[in-house]
Amino acid sequence: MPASVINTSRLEACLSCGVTIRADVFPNLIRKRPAVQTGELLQTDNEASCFYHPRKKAAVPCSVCGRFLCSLCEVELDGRSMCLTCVESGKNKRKIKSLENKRTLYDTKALSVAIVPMIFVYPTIITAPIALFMSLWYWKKSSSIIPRTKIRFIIAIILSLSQITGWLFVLWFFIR
Amino acid sequence: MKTPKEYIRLPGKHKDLMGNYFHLWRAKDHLLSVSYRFGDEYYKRFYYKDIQTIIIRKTAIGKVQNGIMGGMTVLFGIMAFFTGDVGALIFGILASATTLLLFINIIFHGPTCECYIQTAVQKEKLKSLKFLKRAVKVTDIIKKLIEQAQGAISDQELNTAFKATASKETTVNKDEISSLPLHSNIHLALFILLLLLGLCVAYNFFHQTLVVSFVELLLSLGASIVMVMALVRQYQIRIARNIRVITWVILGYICGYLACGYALFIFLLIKNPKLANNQWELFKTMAALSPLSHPLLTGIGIFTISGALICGISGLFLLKRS
Repeated sequence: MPASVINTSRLEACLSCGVTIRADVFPNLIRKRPAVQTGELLQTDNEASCFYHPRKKAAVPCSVCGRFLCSLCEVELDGRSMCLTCVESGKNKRKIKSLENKRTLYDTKALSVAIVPMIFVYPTIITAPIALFMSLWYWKKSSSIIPRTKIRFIIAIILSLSQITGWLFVLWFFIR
Repeated sequence: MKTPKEYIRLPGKHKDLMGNYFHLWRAKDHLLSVSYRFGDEYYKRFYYKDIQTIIIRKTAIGKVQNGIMGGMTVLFGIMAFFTGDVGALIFGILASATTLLLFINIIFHGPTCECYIQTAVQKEKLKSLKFLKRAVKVTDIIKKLIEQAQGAISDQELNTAFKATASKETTVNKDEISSLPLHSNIHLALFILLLLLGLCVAYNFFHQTLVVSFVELLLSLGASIVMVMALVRQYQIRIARNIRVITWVILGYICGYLACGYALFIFLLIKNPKLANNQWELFKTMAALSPLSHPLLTGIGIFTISGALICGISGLFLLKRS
């Protein structure tokens, strides 16, 4: 791709294939990245060493567990220095938001459980209490990391309560 | 005082046939690509300091969709106008109105595109940016944030870097690429055959004649054989990607066409079992069937005509442009 069609901020025809494109290139592509620091070796016995590499000089403590880390072991995340173990456990325990790559949307699931069985009517005798339970149990649990309202939970509660009321009415009608 | 929002929604969304949903959000230091699948949300973060390129490539998908929807609107309109049956009239009007709405919707959104974002370790397609206007708008927003994080690139830096890359790529690929043939006559033959098939079926739609039905049969057989040859051939030549895609679409179309023909054949055999022993009589019976006699036959007819004409014309247009 010739440089004349790059970073023009408008659509241009590619001189090679003729396809209309817009290409925005940023310094990260062409500027040399700093070399990876592998950690400095210990010069004397009095110096603090890395927890994971005893022969390397400690550069920074982990902000979570306090272990000494060399430059190789240090992971910078959200402005903090951490060791790989804390990063891993933080990810697994969902304590580091910027590492989360999946969340379950219980509000959508509760709404689906409240709506879908309505097509077949009879399954709602089981699914309505489940939808109600899901809505109340997960009400306070964080769902999406992006802004989201509680409207799905509210609709699920209204629908499941209506279904339960309907079934109670049917039951009362037969008993009477 | 109101705290600033952590994530701000960017324009553009995409919902696919499986119910998956894609959208984009921007944060202070990264771009968040969100995809929704069966009650779960998946996140991908692109930090502004790591983004290397954003590429928007205009595609012809919008034009093809427009052609299909426009063609369907006209054909369903014709069906509603010509058939005397009330059911077919209502079906025709409803179908025509639906396709017209889709046609207007596509026109309203404008041309389509594909948008890619690249970092040092990945190249990701941003599925929510499928319309050009929105993709440009979002790119303008992100570009400012990336430049804040990385700084701007100078023209001199850009020229130096791309001159070096271009010369390296040219020496590596020159011999390899130039040895591949540029055009394919098989694809040309396939598109012409489809165009003729479409015209033939269109003629048969109003005037059923044995000769035209026989020609239609020969054309469909020819198109099926040539299509297989084209699919094999397109991996040995240097041909545009959209032509490859349309050849695969034609495979789907021909499979649908043959399936409809087979269903009709079985239906006639069940209705007239005596015809099973006389292929010529069976062919004559099939040829004499008027597509306007039943809404299902009309639908099959419209599918065959619109599919063949759209694929044939688009293919020829793309071949000419490439």
